[in-house]
Amino acid sequence: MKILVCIKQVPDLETRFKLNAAGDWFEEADVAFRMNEYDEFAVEEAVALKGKLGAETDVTILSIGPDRVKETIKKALAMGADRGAHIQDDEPHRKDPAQVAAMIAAYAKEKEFDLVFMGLQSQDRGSAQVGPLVALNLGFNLVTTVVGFEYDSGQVTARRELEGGLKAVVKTRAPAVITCQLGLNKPRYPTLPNIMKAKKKELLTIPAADLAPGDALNIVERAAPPERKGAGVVLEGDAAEVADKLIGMIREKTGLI
Amino acid sequence: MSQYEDIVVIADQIQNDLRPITFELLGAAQTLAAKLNVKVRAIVMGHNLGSIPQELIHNGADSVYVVDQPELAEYTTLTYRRAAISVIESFPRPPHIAICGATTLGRDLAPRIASHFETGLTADCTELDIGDYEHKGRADPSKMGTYNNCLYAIRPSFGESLKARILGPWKNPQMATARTGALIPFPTDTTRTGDIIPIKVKFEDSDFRVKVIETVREVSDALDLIRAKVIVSGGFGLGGAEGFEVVKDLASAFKESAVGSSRKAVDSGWIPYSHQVGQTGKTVRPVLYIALGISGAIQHRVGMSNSGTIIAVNKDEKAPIFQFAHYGIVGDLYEIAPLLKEQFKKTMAS
Repeated sequence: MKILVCIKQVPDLETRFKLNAAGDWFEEADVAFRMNEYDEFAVEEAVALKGKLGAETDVTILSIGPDRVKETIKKALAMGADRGAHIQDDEPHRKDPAQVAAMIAAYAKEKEFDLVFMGLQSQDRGSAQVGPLVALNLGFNLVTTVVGFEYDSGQVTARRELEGGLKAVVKTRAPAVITCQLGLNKPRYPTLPNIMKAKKKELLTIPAADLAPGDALNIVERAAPPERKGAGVVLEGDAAEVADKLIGMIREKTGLI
Repeated sequence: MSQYEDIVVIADQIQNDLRPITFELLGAAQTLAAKLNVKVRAIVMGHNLGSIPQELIHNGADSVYVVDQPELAEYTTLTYRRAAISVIESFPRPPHIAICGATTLGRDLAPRIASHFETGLTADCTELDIGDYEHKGRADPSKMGTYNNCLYAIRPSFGESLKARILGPWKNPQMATARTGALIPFPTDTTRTGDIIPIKVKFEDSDFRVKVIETVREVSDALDLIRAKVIVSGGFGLGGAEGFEVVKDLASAFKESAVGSSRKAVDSGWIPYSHQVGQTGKTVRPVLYIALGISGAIQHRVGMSNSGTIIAVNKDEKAPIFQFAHYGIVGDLYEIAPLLKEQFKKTMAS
């Protein structure tokens, strides 16, 4: 049984982003990076499945980006994955979702993965397209927005979260791509011994160009900070004063009083 | 006649209920169509669709292509993909633009349609526009030149700290998915008329590799977040289920109010899903939105950022919600919420 988990390193969203000189991305200096939250659920699901199925199940973590993404791969290895594949790409933000999916599929082809887990979307770009396109490129079955997952000898049973409080229970066969919604499981924290063990695990680097991403179908023509809608007033003082001020605001702005 | 092809809207329906995004897509499509002097064609797929095609005409579609077959009773990627592509390929030329909702349906389906036509797709847009583009060949010198009347797909990035304009002018249909609550719906007009064109699609065995076993509705109580004028919402910062007592208490001071929640509070089991505001919950637009102990992650923000006035109370001064709340209070919600309720009641009584 072979499992691939695709993860992304994303900037901490509490960062105040500054535009870069080209106007299509942000300045990376002073930005902290971490694992995309949705992908933590993907790693957990794969590692938990390995726990159930036994040691012959092999979990590979794949991530695309510059050298810094190795740190995020190591975190996933410390959570219990077996090996890492780092696709070296110094400008991943210049790739559109179709190119990212093409690289993942080129890596995964002929490696006979049974399952591919990844987050439903990334927190930074949030296109939610990579999962569906990887499934298409590999000819795998696809189940997106998964909040419940079971696997039994090649049979996948998954709960999909739909709008309006609806959930669909679907069945399909491996090989399949599963995109994970928040809350699918409880991602574990790596323990110190596992962090030490992760340092010795295999982590291969593959140049992006070897995986022939092809041409971009889309381009970011320009990016800019959005105009602020609110006044963004921060109210200060003790609680009673603040409550008083809020009543004033509610009177002035909402017509509820 | 315009030199451009029509605009296609993929209607978003679950269990024969048109999702609100459909009307917003039709509204945006009509605005774009007016700029290009073209028409809006809706595609609707499902089974026993009844009056839905007519409803689409009343809400902005100039014509509706209907695939009504038992195989489409429940959404699956492969069956809906085949149906949508069959309809689009029945047109003499690909549409200029095709748009879907950034819903579980649209986000699952749109990449597969885009891929079939080898065209780009911009996800989760909040604005759509038409404009020209000059490609100077930074990325692709072979495509250098001016492209007229392209789809400008505009969307937030990085938890909304940046807004990006994304184009894919090389090939049609130029595609985008749009977020619920961002575009302005077309005003319903029951006197509108238009062609309703049934299309029969032939499926293949390989289209049924993913089967829907059942679709279940989680129990939902009577509250109606969508129609509430005031929403008081609680998040993870409440610290526990009992925190919602304070939220409910403050909400009860306002008329036509409802209690909302962030995803994290729902996932923690503190309050049922029906209260969830955000990407996979409800999109709301109340006059007043009070967020108690909500950090303001993108997932929540997309569901409430169009509220009239947003007040946020959070202990963490770095919480992203302070970047878009109109009024922010860095402090203890357990101190402020009861005082606010008291003051509000006093003010109303006087």
